[in-house]
Amino acid sequence: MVLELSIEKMIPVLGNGTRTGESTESGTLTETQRTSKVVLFDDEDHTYDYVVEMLTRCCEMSKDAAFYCALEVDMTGRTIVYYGDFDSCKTVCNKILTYGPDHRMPHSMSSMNAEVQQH
Amino acid sequence: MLSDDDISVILHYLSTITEQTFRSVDDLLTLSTEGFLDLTEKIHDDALPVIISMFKSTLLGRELFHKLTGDLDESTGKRAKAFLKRYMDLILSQEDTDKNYNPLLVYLPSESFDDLAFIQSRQSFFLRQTVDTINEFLRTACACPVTFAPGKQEDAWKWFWNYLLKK
Repeated sequence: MVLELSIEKMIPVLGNGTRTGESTESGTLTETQRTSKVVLFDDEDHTYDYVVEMLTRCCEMSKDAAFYCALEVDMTGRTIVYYGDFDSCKTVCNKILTYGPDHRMPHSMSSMNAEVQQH
Repeated sequence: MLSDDDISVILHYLSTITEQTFRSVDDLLTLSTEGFLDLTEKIHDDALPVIISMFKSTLLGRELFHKLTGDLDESTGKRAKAFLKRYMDLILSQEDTDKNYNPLLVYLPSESFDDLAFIQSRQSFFLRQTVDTINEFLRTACACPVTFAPGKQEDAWKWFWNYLLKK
């Protein structure tokens, strides 16, 4: 809970990513649309470069917001990378899970782990 | 993971540059956010990533993260943001700053072409590239005579894979 509050606070400062749904082209997401979230988990098989690249592509985050998430997942073990309804979260989560290994690390053989969690 | 000796060296370095005594990583966490930011500004760029990893190594990363992103006033918030920007610039490679940079040529070197398991593990990476990047890679690394059209990454991968199998 504390982590989620810190994320909410920093996103407007660090970037314009859509992961929290604070501001989208179609307007602000309502609470009923934000029923779920995508949580990304830390591992030792992916670089910061990978996480930033992957989040900017899968979650349409700004580079700064993606780096913030990369730092959080590295330092705390997990980070919330997207809020939305269940279906949109499932789509984003599948993108993360199928993004592929980190080519920068020879021993990296798979994508990062993430899951959809409902509020 | 950093060893206890590594951590001792880092704490000694931090004690030296601040003229304070840090006997453990916990001592660093007793600093206010402002005090911690003062400290980070004295740390050399080369040392900063190691010092940040020390917090993770000692399972205190969560505390550090909260210190940098918790309830901050305007001034401290700006400094914390500047710190994160500095750290980001240090941590992330500059691989996308060179216009002539081709990630496939860097991460799929021809020396690795005999290791099919390695190459296959990079398939999704290959497919994520633009077709221009792929064409340049295939032309340079494999003397490929074909120029693939936009959206034909899968066909390019098939060509590349067949090329490796025939080698």
